[in-house]
Amino acid sequence: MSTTEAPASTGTNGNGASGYRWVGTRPVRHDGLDKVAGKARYAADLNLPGMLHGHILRSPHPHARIVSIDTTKAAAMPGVKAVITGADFPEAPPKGATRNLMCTVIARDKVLYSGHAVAAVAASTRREAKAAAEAIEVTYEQLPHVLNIADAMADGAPVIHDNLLTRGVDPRPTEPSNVAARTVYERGDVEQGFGEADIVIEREFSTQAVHQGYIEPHACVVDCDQEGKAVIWASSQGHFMVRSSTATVLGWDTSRIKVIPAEIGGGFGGKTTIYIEPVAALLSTKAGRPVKIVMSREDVFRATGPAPGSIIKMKVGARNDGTITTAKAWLAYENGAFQGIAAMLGCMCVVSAYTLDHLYVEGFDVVLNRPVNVAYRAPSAPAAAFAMDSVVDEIAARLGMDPIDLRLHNCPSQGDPTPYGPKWPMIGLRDCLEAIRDSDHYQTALPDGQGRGVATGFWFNIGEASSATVNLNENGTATVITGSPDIGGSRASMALMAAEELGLDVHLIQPVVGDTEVVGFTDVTEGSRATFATGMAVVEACRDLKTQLRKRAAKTWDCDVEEVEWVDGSAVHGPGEQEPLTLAAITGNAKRTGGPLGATASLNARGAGPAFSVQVADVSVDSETGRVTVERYTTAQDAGTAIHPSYVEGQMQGGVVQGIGWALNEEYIYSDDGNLENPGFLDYRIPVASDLPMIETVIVEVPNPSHPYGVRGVGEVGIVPPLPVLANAVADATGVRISDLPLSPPRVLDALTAAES
Amino acid sequence: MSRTHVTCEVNGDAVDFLTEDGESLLNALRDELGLIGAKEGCGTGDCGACSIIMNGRLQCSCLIFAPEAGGAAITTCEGLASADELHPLQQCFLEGAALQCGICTPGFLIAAKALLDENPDPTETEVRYALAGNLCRCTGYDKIVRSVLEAAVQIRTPA
Amino acid sequence: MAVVHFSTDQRQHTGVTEVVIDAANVRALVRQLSELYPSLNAHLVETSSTAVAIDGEIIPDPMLEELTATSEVHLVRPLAGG
Ligand code: FES
Ligand code: FES
Repeated sequence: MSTTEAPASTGTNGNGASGYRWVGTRPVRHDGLDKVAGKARYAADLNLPGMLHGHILRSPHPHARIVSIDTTKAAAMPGVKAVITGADFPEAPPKGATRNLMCTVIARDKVLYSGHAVAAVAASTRREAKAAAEAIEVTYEQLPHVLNIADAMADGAPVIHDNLLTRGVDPRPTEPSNVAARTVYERGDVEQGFGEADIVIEREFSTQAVHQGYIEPHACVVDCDQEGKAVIWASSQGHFMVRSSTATVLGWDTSRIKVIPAEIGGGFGGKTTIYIEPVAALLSTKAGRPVKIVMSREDVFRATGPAPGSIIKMKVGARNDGTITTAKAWLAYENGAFQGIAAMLGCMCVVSAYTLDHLYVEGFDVVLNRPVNVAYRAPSAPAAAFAMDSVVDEIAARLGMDPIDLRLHNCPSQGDPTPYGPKWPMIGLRDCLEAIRDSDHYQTALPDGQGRGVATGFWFNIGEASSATVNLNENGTATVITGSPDIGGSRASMALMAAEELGLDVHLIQPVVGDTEVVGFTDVTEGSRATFATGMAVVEACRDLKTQLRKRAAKTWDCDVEEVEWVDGSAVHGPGEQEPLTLAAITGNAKRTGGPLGATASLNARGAGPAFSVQVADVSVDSETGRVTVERYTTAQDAGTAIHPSYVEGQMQGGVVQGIGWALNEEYIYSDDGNLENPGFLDYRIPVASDLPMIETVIVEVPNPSHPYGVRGVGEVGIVPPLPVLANAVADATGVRISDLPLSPPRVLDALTAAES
Repeated sequence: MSRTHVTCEVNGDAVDFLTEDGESLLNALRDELGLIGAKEGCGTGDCGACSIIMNGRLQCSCLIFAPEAGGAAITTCEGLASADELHPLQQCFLEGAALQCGICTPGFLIAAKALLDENPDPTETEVRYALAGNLCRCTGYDKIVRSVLEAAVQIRTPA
Repeated sequence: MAVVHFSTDQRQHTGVTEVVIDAANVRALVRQLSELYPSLNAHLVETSSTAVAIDGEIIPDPMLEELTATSEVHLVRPLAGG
């Protein structure tokens, strides 16, 4: 078996800077065959004998008190085996993250958004379950609702949580409001900074809530037995998270729950939490039968993870030489029905791509009657970059400077302070800026009638806990078991790192995603951490194995272990008196030299390297319809080291296209009465193949010194720049700067018309 | 509850199943025949994850009532490969890394097959329009389009 | 030994922008900080600033993290990602 070169992707490097044998190659992924053959099992693909179907009844109101729920009629309907409501769940604490999770899974005294789960039924067929759920009689007392930031922050706004007192304001307010928290980052003196500036630009921006839009709706099958044990098959970004969250919501001990990861059909952050597993578990417990719940697309839109909309006011000053002297930002982010940290993250990201002596950033996290936010690739960073990089672009235009030169002029490097305090470690922003500047795309003259935009994006990346077990089989192959679900090719990355360490052909390595009972604890796949952190555990386990292998060879040769080296998959006798022993020779003889060979590593991964991306787009704008067409797009991203360049490119391209959707088309549209008006892919339009050009990629490799192979996460930052990139390109094409997203045809047409008159 | 007996041909095999009126062909394929390759991403004809070829035409199986399949010839993703060889589209998708999560892959393979059956030498633009009914949220379509173009070459010029 | 840098909010409780603390780990550091600045702890809890950035890296459960003579410490809120 051999590695295969991917079809040419323009501008791609990413070929393992430093002579690795496997890292940086592009083998066919190990789980690929099942996925192209239609055999891979996602959560909705599992059926168990005697399995029932669950259906969840959801609130039609955005804000209401639940006066009563009558399930008598529903319980008597054909096929119905169990009916549950919020009253069947343990009581939620008065506030905090646990309450938010518990009350998202099922409403208690109040519903807080249209689509909020209220009750659930398990019945023999899907249709019986749905019919019975619809027969549950809920009496609501409707309450006034708030759907956007301005209304929620207004004086006298209806208050959603009567115990929510704004944090971060001194002294703390004594009256509740919808502002959950205020965050401030400050350095130097912004007024002095504006004083030093030759030009000052002040603008206000807005972005709309969008959905992660994974193609697989949330699904699970739960089988609870009479001893109180539950087996959950679920599609998620982390099955240990499913276990702990389900246990929390049900008040169960985690040891009662085993979670078997199904293949996951996309997550992008949206599957870092749970919605349906505890409901299915309780229905299964009541009915004594396995229960499957599959969300409809409509429910996915109405009740799961939007990324927040935002309002951001930016004021930036610069000198004529292009030095940005100061930035002042005011940010407000939707949190959905429960408080989150969206604005805090926005504050941390908003000016991160710039060195500033003076800055003042103030953010507000705002609750309102929409489903609670869930992470979406580099959460909060896209809207923040949209604001800052739009203003920076305007400054470049006003100063007549090349927008990349301006950014290079203000680019932070290692040791400079981040806006949120600590110093930057080694980062690749400058390299990404230079990569785009030197790209064929940027060096090619802009075709007539088009506009070009560039922008930057930043995201932290996260380490956290991971475990891996590597077993060597008697025939010289290896099994690599990790606790990270494979969302976009991580099995292949794990196998590549193990291949590099052990000196084994990558196809002699079987990567496996283990359930919660076969592999050590592993945090949810978020913050671009799987290849970084779980990969680190794989490498550590392999290094342990190499020591063991050397010892076995030393035993065989009756020599000192120090005399044995591990070279290219074989034990080599330093003094050269012995023929090398291959891995297969050692494992084949393992029982005689001390037993089977295996190693486990569990660790808190440290040193996740910050990620930057710089992107450029050419667009044309149809002045008749307002339609923006992306004609050419190039993205450069610092991957640290690309373990499997094809999947690094895939992450970059996927992130870019999600960002393009956010910039051009996607938005949640709520009616005044608080219902989502576009809960389907027809009216919530994500980009399709015919909307797009090829997405050219430049993998920049500034190795992360904290990782054995220099990996930085690549999963998230790609979604950040497209919002400002396209706004800047449209401004370049039309001379009209639009500061409200999405740049949908009606909005662009309105702006063009307004500019003309 | 009344159930209809449906006989048809799926991936070359004569099959039959019982289905409720109003049930979708997608559910019948998945639940009655165990063919889980076609996925439900929306149930409303907007995502293409449930794509099949029925009587030579690309269809969303979520929009077809199961009884309508009576007498039809249906190809699903499971019918693309032979016992010992993948379809060139499947092979090119693997080698071109045209899948990340893979949930959309069966639908894209079927839509691409329907295209290449009709037009063995499509341009990039033709591929993009032919696949516009299939949503992929992971890949940005780049590697999918390249892989379909590569498969077209391989099918036209067998090794 | 470590240098602790305070954010704008935290300065209201410390009165200084930074302080040098001789502590082997974060737990000892936090203990000393609360002795020095009695109202700081409540503020940290209040703002959920339960994480610590040591030399630029944000660590979610930091209490037993070891500190060196040159550690740069910021008291921050934990992150979440996609
Ligand atoms: S499930 Fe049929 S088109 Fe989406
Ligand atoms: S690969 Fe995930 S939706 Fe296409």
